[in-house]
Amino acid sequence: MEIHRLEKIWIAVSLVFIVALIASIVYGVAGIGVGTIGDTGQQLDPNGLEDTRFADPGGHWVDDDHYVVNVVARQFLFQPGTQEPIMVPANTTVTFYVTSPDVVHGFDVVGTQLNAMVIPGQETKLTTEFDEPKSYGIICHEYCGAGHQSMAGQLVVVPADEIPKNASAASGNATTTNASASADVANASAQASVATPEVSA
Amino acid sequence: MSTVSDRRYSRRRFLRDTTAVAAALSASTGVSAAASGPSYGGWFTGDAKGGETKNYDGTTVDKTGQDSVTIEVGAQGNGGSYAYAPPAVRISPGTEVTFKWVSNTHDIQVESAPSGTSWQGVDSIKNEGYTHSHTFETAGIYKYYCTPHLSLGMKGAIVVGGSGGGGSASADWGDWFTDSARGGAVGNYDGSTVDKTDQDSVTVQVGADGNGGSYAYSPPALKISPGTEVTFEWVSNTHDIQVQSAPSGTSWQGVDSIKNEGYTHSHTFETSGTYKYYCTPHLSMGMKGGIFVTGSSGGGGGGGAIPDLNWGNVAWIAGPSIVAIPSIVAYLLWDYHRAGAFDGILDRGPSEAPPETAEAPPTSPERELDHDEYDPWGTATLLGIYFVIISVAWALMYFVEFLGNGPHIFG
Amino acid sequence: MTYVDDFPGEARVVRTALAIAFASIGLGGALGVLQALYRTGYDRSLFSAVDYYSILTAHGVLMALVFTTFFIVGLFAWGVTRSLDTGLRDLRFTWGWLGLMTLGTVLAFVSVLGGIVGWIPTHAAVLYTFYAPLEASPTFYLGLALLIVGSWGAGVDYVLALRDWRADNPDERIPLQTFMAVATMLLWFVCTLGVAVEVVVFLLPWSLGLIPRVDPLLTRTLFWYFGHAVVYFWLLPAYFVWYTIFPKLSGGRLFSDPLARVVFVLFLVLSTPVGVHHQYGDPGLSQGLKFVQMTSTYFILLPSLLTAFTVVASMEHGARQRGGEGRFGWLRALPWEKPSFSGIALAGLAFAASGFGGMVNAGLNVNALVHNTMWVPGHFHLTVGTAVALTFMAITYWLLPQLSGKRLRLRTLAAVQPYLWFVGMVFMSNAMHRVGLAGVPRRTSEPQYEQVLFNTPIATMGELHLQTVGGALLLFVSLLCFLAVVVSTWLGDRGAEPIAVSGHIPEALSGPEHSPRILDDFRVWVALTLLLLLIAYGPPLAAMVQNGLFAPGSAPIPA
Repeated sequence: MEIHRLEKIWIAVSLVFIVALIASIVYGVAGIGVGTIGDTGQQLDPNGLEDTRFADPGGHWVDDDHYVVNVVARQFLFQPGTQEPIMVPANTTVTFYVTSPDVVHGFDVVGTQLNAMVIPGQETKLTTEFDEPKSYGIICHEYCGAGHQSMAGQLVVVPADEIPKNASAASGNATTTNASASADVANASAQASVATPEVSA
Repeated sequence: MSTVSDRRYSRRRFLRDTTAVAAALSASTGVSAAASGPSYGGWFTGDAKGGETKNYDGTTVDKTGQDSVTIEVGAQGNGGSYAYAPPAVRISPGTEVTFKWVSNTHDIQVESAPSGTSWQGVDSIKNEGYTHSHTFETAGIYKYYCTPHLSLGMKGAIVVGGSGGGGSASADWGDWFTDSARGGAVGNYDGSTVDKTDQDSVTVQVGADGNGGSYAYSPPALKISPGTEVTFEWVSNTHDIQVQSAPSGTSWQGVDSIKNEGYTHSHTFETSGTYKYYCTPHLSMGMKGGIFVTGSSGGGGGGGAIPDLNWGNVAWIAGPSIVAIPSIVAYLLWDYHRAGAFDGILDRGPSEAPPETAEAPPTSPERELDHDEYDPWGTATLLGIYFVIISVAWALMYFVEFLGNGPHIFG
Repeated sequence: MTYVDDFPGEARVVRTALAIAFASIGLGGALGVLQALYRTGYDRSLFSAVDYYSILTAHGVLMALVFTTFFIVGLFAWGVTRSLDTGLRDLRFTWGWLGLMTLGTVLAFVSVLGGIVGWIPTHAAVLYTFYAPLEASPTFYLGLALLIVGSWGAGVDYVLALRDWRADNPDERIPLQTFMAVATMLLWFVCTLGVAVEVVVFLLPWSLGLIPRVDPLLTRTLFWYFGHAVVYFWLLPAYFVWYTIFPKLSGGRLFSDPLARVVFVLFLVLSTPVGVHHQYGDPGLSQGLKFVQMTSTYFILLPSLLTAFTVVASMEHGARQRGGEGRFGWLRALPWEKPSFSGIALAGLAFAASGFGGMVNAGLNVNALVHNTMWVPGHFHLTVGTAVALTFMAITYWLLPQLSGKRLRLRTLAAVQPYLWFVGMVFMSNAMHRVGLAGVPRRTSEPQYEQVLFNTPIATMGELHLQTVGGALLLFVSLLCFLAVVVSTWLGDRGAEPIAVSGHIPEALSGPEHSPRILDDFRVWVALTLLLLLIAYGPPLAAMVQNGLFAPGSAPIPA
């Protein structure tokens, strides 16, 4: 089969390009350690979450340098996240475990690369570390039903010592005021050093 | 061939059907039969916080006189199990209301309640089987909603007391505070007009809490006597006062530019009548207000009601059309068939009936380039440029935009 | 003689398929404008935030499943019969599968319509991916199943035509157009297997109440087994046009027939075993699996890069034959005033731009930057929405006279239409990419949240919304122009004067004679495809069904 010389050069260039793309991904994964969601091997009964780690959604320390948050995404809120913000310590390894008892949801922390799917029966494990105290919004970005467009929450990163090591600080039983939901919630939290996000356009 | 009895039967059915149509039309345009309660200031519409509460039919269930009342939480409605049933209920002071969860994942957030009440709703998500009771003593209107299903319209209201919040007898706001007027329903308007006719000076807060943020005039509806000085006090940032309508002869022009917290504006209202005003950046949230100055009966013209596109009505037109159009098409097809238009539809090979159409002859090129005479240098150059562009773009996207912006998922 | 005189029965089939395709894109396009107006906040008065999802479902199904499939089966029916110079075996069978496809389409569409119109007792606001446990009415799943099964009939027709031709011409190479059509339909058979199993074995019985639960991860994985390959089912017919007709429209000849065959074989083999790159963010699938499928996804860039060279080289050949000179000057010698040329050229340009987006989407970890944001619709409106759709519209201008014997009417409108489409898409898709990078999500009716601030580096959100709506409106105007040209041509008289196009396609510069015969042996390539599929999908699917076909299972949640 006869291939024009110029086309042969282009084929070679293309192959090199493709290999370079793959190499850059490998560098990201192996070199820097930026990966993707994997398989924890754990399967759950969506109707039986009270027998799992998701029985009491919220965050807690597992040891001095590792904080775990169990989040339940359901139609149409994040527990925790929507009614009160998820509080996580800065400069600490944070692992989110997310699942859903009903439909497929998304878990996306806007402004970061923390972007995952939540599937009933499966456990999404997402490990990361936040460098500085900051406030983020969490969105459900996978269509999950009629109220999907309002499904959002907040993630607040605070200095590590502001999250007590004994009790579960950001558990699901919040005492929010009767005012309208999210905008006032950040004010209700005790962390004065946290910047409140501006409302979006 | 129909008999006399057939025709009579069908005429009766026709009358019955048209009545049903008329009833459906009037029901679907939201004209409710016996509204025994206040309008709740548009609380149940789509322009108040959250979605339209479809299971609210405009009536308030009257349970005055009963010692205990049950409200189902998460009953069927609003496209799923997303309803309080009944959504609007009137009770006597001292009645114990039991909220009974009949499905999962609901709470009760109190949107507004009369001052002095101790009721705080149910702040955390509860599931089927849970109950919550409260004895309502303080008279007034309580509005509440469910956090995860607010956007679907899961809202409710309880009226405690006799006549509830009736509108002021003299002020006629028309549609101004509802979603038929521009901007949408005013969430912090509960149907009552605050009566300050006995005072010389009155304060209206601009940018008070309400309407989903600090987007309210408080009080939204005010009645004053001629000669009263009203001071508008900004309690949050970014508001103005645009006058929608005012009685002729008044010199009041509102506050045309955006002002911030701390600003005040005063005006002594002399001219009797109804003044309507709104805040430009927050009109779509429902930040509207009204002042009624007693004297002559203020003619409050309601805002032009632009009817929402009502799918129920559209369906009554679309329905017959969907029957009629295919029928006409089917008749035409049958008629074409009878005329022989479809004969030979399955034949293959050249047909003789329609005239044969020739194609344009193939054109020969201006300059013929054969396989050995042609080297695609232009292509190679263009593709080389393309390759450079996507390589640079990839480097920027991957290394700068992605790896440079944390936090990341650790793999 | 024109095609309509040589094959009047087949011409009628093709015209019918195209008519249904155009009706879908017309309706789908109108729905698209409604979505753009709603989502940006420009006009939310026409329907509710919840109705939006039914409208979005209808838009996706009509554009991505109905318009595409009907146009493709029509285009290929023309290509196969023309290149083999023989009719289809039994037109009753042909009308049968076309009718089945139409029935399926109507059923699915009415099911979705029921979500907005109260008196139709169905609901299907599940979007075109219909992920369980969200559940639509059984009629929706049935309709989609009929549409797909009907389209299998098309593949059967082309394979039988090829068989008959082969019996008479045992030593000749398969004509390129038939080769491409058959390769594409073989790809279609292989990849629709996944979604057919998902719908017929799981979702349809589940929505009928015959089985109580389905495993959402399993059904989702079966969908994406189909979901990536389907984009090649759309793309390959566009490549079919670019390779076999576009060189002639440019005034030249196809640069290399053998390479075109290689490209199609590569697509057949590589298209399906890469579907997991749509599931990088999913739990329950290992990072190792995702890594492997990432590498094969990047390799599928190769046939497209090859196509770029061959197609542009063919275009350059045409330009130089028309008298063009210089390193870049030859571009001016091309017939930009002819819409069948300009539409395809612009479609190719859009596709080149979209390739970059595809590279980001395929990148295992960098995918997290854009997953489920508006970047993704930005990408696919460039690919299927321009590269494929604009090619189809452009080639209609050339095909329709040959299929009907009628001259093209409103030619000025036709000449302008591709440019309108391209400009509209540049605005809309560009805005979508940028808001996506800022984090704005897709698939939601109101992407404005109190708790979330979207940071757009250049231009405000308001300007980007304006671009989105402006682009969408331009696209709709362009679509109306296209439909106007098509309808007025269709209603015209078939006169005695010859049509303005010539159906003659010159031979390739480099013909198939010197390419390996094994290219034409589809059995080898299908076997290779199935082997790769076993390797790519075998382990994950086996792991998922290990603890039960329906576990961990979820009951239906109606939407």
